[in-house]
Amino acid sequence: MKRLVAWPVRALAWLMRAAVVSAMLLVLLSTLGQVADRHLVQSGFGAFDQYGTLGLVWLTFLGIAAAVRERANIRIDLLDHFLPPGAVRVKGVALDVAMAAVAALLVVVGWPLLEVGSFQVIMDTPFDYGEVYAALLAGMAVLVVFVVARLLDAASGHRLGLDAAAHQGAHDPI
Amino acid sequence: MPPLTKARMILFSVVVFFALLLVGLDVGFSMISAALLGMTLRAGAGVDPVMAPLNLVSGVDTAALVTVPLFILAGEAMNRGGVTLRLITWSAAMVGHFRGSLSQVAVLTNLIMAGITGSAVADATATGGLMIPAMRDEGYKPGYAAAVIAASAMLGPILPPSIPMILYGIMANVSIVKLFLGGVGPALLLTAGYMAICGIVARRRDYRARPRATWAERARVTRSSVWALFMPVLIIGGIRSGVITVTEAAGVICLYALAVGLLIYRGLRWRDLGSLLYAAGRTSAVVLFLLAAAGPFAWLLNEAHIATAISQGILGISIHPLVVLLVVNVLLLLVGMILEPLPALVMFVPTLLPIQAQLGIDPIHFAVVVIVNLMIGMLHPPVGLLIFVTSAVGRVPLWSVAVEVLPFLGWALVVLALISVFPDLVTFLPRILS
Repeated sequence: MKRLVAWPVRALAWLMRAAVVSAMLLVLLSTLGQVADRHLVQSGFGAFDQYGTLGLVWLTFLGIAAAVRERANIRIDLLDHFLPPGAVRVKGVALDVAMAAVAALLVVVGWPLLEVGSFQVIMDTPFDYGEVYAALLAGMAVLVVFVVARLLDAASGHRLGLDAAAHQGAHDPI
Repeated sequence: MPPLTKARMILFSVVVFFALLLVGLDVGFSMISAALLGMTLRAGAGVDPVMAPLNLVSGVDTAALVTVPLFILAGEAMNRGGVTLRLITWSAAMVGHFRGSLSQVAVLTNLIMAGITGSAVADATATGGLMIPAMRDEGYKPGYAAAVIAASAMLGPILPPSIPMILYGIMANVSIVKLFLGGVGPALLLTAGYMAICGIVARRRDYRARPRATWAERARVTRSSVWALFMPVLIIGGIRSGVITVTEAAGVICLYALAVGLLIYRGLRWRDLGSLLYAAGRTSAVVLFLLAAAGPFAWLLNEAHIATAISQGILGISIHPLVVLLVVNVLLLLVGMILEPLPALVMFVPTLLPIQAQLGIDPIHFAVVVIVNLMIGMLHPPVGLLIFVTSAVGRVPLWSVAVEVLPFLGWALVVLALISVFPDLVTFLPRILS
């Protein structure tokens, strides 16, 4: 049962890692490509910036989902120093629920942007702004999955193995 | 709840943001939640909530921002490739004989690191992980050790290449190269003061100095660190000579850091590249998400014409540039208490630019004052990010870091006052080198 539940979340986490690495590579290679083209090749290819920016937007929204899963996002844990452990746990659950709700809301209200964006072509590339807005929607949707998995894990007494940070001991804020 | 007037809506949103922040919600989500609430409760015609996701995306949909992940990747490659360790060794050979040697080494190492990564958090994490335990072992108070790292990591975004300066340059259409050069004077002033404070504290607490390194040792350490020391030269020289742009410099420095780590210092292995790219990508996403999250809030401020109200309010106090700079400094110090520097830049630069233009203040001078001011916010509670980072990295109680950082914070405020009053401290270098 545990493996059956944990497997899809871990597969999604692995996919996110691969996507973050790919987006990072796209940003790096498009910038280096621009340098090489300007000084060596001089092909006149003019879309390095566009590809770099596309990589950047995907990196931002998929990366924040991965960071939230691993509790590497920026938050202020000032109150945690003064609250009893039980209250800290309750507060953590409440904040996770709030974060998942806001992320889900962004997916819902942002959905029409996919259609609007499909009419805005990104010059010199086969892409349009639909792909840019899709980064936000995909990132927030994955974030909701990760946070819900964390809540389920907490509810099961961490027996499901769905909480990356709980199992790696990575509880420090950035 | 009834609809609110624009001013009340903004005030309500700020209070909600602050409350969510203090409770411990993710900083970015605190901003988004507050902006969404503000949009919902706005008086008159309702705001289409699609503005929130639209502004989230447009906050990072800018080509020049690709420098952010690239400089962070370069910093990560340096740490894993052994470059940071060599910089510490080199600094120890140069200033290790000063009173309070390890604290002096920490300051000098961060000064050089600042010339490579442009990110205070990256610098604090890299040097803090190595230097805080070392200082502890030599009998330094743990809170003081963390405070030294926090204060000196603040140099990162003031010296080139600086991520906040790149962002400011994009927003205000100011030369990024001139901004980079303008940051050098304040950064050197800060460094000199920090080293003096380290000396005074070491004298009071009897922190020992190490034996002076011989010139032969210094030459040997410099030879082995030359690839690391060449990095800031490569960045500044490349950009200054016009051979490469700021964006291209970020890509080139990544390639250089990877090559040095993989082929020369060999601290990096080919099989580590995946985890290196992932770690840098994740850290970059955290930083970039803050920028994205500031988008809806900045839109709300703009839509409520808060920028005009603030600039009219400031100009209503005085039109003397020095008095206005003082008021702007006080405002930004207050802003820095609740906002990280990057979101604060996104929200307040559009507000402040008309003031700078109307009073004829030098744009480079004004920009550097704004950036140094917002960086100071990283050193004091409640949202002093560097205090949190060094407290977490060094496993030191938060309040002891906040108390021990006070002398450094005081000097940073003195430097802020000096550069506000004497513009030449900022503009001298851009003037002679541009």
